[in-house]
Amino acid sequence: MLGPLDAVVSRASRLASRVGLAALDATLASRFAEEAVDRVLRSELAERALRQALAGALIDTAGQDIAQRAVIERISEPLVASGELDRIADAVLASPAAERMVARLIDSPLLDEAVARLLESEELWLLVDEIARSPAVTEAIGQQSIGFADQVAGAVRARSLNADDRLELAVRGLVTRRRRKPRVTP
Amino acid sequence: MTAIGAQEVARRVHGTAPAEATGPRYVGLVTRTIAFVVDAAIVNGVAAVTAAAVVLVLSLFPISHNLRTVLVAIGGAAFFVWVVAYFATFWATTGQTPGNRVMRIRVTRPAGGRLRPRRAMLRVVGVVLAALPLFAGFVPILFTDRRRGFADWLADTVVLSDQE
Repeated sequence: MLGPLDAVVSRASRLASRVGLAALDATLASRFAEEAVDRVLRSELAERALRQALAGALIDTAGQDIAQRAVIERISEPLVASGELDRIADAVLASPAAERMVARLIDSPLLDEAVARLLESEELWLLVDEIARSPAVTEAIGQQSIGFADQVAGAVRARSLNADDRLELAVRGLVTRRRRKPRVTP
Repeated sequence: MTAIGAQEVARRVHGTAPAEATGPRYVGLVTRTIAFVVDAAIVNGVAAVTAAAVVLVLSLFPISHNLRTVLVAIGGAAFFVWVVAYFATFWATTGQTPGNRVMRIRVTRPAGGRLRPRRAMLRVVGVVLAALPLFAGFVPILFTDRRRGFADWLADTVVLSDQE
């Protein structure tokens, strides 16, 4: 059972809390609050605090926690499922900034260096040899050759059939012309 | 203006009704020559490779002059048999030599049937006889309605286009 004194203390405490919250709301709603926050953020103290936080163990701990609690997976899974990530990726790829970045990458000596190293590597040529010897490639080349031979043969066939008609027409025309030639009587 | 049929147009252009106006397409001299060139290349290619192999093997053995003459005669006979067998076999079986197949033409009876072996042999003889007088036996192909040469007349065959 609470005594009358306890009841009074409890009521006073609740009242003080309400008054405190009301005072906080009033402070946040006031035009000075925004200005105060801006000043704090612009202050050297804020910069120093941020620098200290970044230099300290906070970031490492945060990184470990993010990895341990699979935060990135938990964020990305619904994004992937909803297709939102695809939309974002499309938007990023379609942006002029992405084009500029790709163009800069192509122009940069980094790509030339990468290609040069790739060409120098033994593994690449082993891979090329392996691919060139693969049944799929040899079959494709064979098909291509057969297709080309078929194409040539088809063209020869069509032209030879035309040539049959033309030769026949020419020879028959020659013979008919000679027959029709009027005889010149002296 | 009176409408004239395809037959009449063909008659005016060709002098006689061409093959396509009457149904099957008879094949002319140019196509047949190309097919024959392909066949000649195959026949001679195979013969040359075989001859080279035989000569290479025989070069390991001492062969007298008389024996060499006999071997040459055997080789000539073998070549003759090979040429006759090549054409006769293909004409009697599929109606198409490999050269004919490349050009999509076929040797058949006028009614469309396949040639019997004897008739195929007769056609080979006809081709040889047609070639002897400076290939004069092939000239009728240019003038006859069904584009038949001496060999076709002798064996009673026609050469049709196999294209659809």
